[in-house]
Amino acid sequence: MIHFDKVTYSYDDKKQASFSIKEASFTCSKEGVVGLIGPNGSGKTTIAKLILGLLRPKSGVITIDKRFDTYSGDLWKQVAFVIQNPDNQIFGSTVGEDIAMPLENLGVPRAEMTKRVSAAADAVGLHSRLEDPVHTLSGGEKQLLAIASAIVMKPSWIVFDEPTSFLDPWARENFWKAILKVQAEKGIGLLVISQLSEDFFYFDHLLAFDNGVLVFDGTPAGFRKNLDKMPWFTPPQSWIFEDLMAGGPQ
Amino acid sequence: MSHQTKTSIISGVNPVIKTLVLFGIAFLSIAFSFHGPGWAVIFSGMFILFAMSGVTLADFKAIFGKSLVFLLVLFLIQSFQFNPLKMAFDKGAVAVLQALSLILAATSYVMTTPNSALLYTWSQILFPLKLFKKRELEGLILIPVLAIRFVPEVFNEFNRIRFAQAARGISYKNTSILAKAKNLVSILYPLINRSVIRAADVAQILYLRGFASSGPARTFYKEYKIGVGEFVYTISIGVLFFAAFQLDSFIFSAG
Amino acid sequence: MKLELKNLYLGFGKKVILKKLNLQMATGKLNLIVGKSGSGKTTLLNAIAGLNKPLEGNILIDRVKRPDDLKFSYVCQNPEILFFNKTVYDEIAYAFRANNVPEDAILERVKENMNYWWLDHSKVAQMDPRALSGGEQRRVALAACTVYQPGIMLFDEPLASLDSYTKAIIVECIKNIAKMRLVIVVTHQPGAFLDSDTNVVLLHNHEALQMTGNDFLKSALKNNSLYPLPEWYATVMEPFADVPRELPMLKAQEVFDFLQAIQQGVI
Repeated sequence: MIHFDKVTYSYDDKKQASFSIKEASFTCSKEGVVGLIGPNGSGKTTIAKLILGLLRPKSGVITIDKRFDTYSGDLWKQVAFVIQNPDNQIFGSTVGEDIAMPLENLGVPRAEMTKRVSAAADAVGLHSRLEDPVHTLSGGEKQLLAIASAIVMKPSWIVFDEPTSFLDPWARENFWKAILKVQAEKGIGLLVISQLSEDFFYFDHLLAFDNGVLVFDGTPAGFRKNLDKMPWFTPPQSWIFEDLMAGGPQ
Repeated sequence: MSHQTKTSIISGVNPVIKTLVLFGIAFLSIAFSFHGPGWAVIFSGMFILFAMSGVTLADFKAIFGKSLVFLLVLFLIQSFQFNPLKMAFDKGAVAVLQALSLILAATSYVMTTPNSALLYTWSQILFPLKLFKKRELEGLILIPVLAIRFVPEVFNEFNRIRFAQAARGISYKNTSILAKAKNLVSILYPLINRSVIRAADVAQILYLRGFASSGPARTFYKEYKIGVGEFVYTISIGVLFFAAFQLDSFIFSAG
Repeated sequence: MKLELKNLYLGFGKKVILKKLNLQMATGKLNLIVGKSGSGKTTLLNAIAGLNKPLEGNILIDRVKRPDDLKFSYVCQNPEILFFNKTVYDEIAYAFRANNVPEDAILERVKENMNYWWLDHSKVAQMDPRALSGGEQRRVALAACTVYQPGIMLFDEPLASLDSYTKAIIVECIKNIAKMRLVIVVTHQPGAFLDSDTNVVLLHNHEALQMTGNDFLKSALKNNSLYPLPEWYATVMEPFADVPRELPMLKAQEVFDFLQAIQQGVI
């Protein structure tokens, strides 16, 4: 569980003032996928960085899995991060080496490392490509590799920052299949920042931010009933179609 | 992110051995004054090493092309150094062979040694010195390793930005030097910006993946052994330099 | 303006990425290039831009072989990275100044171009482009990249990393410009741009299939591996894949109106 209790954050740099967070309180469970949405500059990435421990809140408390965060500096052991651009998060020359890198950093013995690397690659469908050089992977496969590098650390949560922005529709489907399978098999919590309407289909819990303020915390169904309060949000065509077919609001 | 290394016979050699041999090549090249025939032998050997590294003729042409100006300047300096009025082209040619041999050896090394192997190598080489705590060592080693790997990325980014700015109408040809310098800002400013953003992303991800964290000593996924292959590799380079030395001795003492 | 690719082969060295391309693209309609990552979209765009030389074949502009000094605008992915001036106006005007165009002529062109991209000159012209919202930055970048050499406009993923509101604005702008210029867009989000007469080039198995937006939807409905359409659309429209009439585009209202008309026997 991720729990925010009246968390506030502001940047010292005035240019980044728009990315501040104002007294955000919410709880995310590991059941289902948590979607973090909002217009550009609403504070989504700031929330992600607070969860990851990269930023320390100015006030309020953040708790990950009931463990009170005293900012011990090792939140990264519980929460993994997958960013938008896969090229900036790949370090190894081969698939296996890249997945193994976090375990090398942690000093995991080789025998255990080999098992965990194999299992992580298998979880995302890259097991047959362990020896392949990373430059032979497509954009979608690189994103799957990033997921494998995250799950090999056995995190409690994975935070994704717009992971499907650069992916084609096929790769996007594979991405969602992979992370839902990972959640089902390993019970890892998933928090996904996205602006792509195609991703909304997968969200079970929505957190919407606007100008650093949490403006919605609930289910997608509940969000749809409050669209008039979200002028920045354009509903996906699938929602509009469902409403039309139900004779409801458009 | 990682540079593209080649899969070849040479890439399978223990990276510590490859590094020590590379140092050996550099030392022998500087310590012994080989003459033309000796350098021809060494150059041939380095060319074979280069070819066995999985590189193509196109790669060789690219490297030769990028080194051409340097080699030309070296040739001219060495040719004229002893007497400005008397050209010593043979000395220039020897200097070019020497430089090209070292370039080929270094390129073979870089193209067959990925980041993780470099990190392993330098950890093994520096560890016995026990000058640093191991975790601090990782940062000291990996930062220059990553920096070197960034270079092709920066070149590619430079070309991409240059093309994109040219497509906006910003000309880099047929303009005065002042205008060219001014227009260069249109490439350098975004390039530096992008590099800083990339560096921040990379630093963030490295931290989040436990790089240089406290805890047990770093381990390595890939196992590097020393066996027959390493023995053959080292002896071959040794034999090559011995043959070069002997050939020079034979030719230059025979008359 | 008309662009033709005749028996074009594209690749690097011995590796052929695209073969036997015979395509036509013209002013007046939006031209989309779609396909999987690695299918050669950017390679094709770069060949049109003159960045890559074809292995074989010809690129013709108005029936003449593509000149090496062809004027075109090329908008890369995330074009905001190209900012290097203090104000929005300076950013958009830079190319004119670099080519010694008089200031009064620049002002008119910049204002006109900002209009195309829904940028309010009086509000944003003197602002630092980096201080704008993400959507505004994208529009400034698009303006800066297309203001000076707008003969042919090439866009590589112009909607990447944008919220849906900004996407809608940019799609409208690009569609309007396509009526006057030869516009080619590489995109992973064809649904946002698609009209029944859009010229779609689908790259598949090293070849290119050229079709209208309507034919593209019908082909994708019959063969999901060609292009995965959104599930909501594919589910209701699949039975109509073979009907001899135009299908509605990927817009909920259009699909709803179509189904209503079917139900009422109007069509």
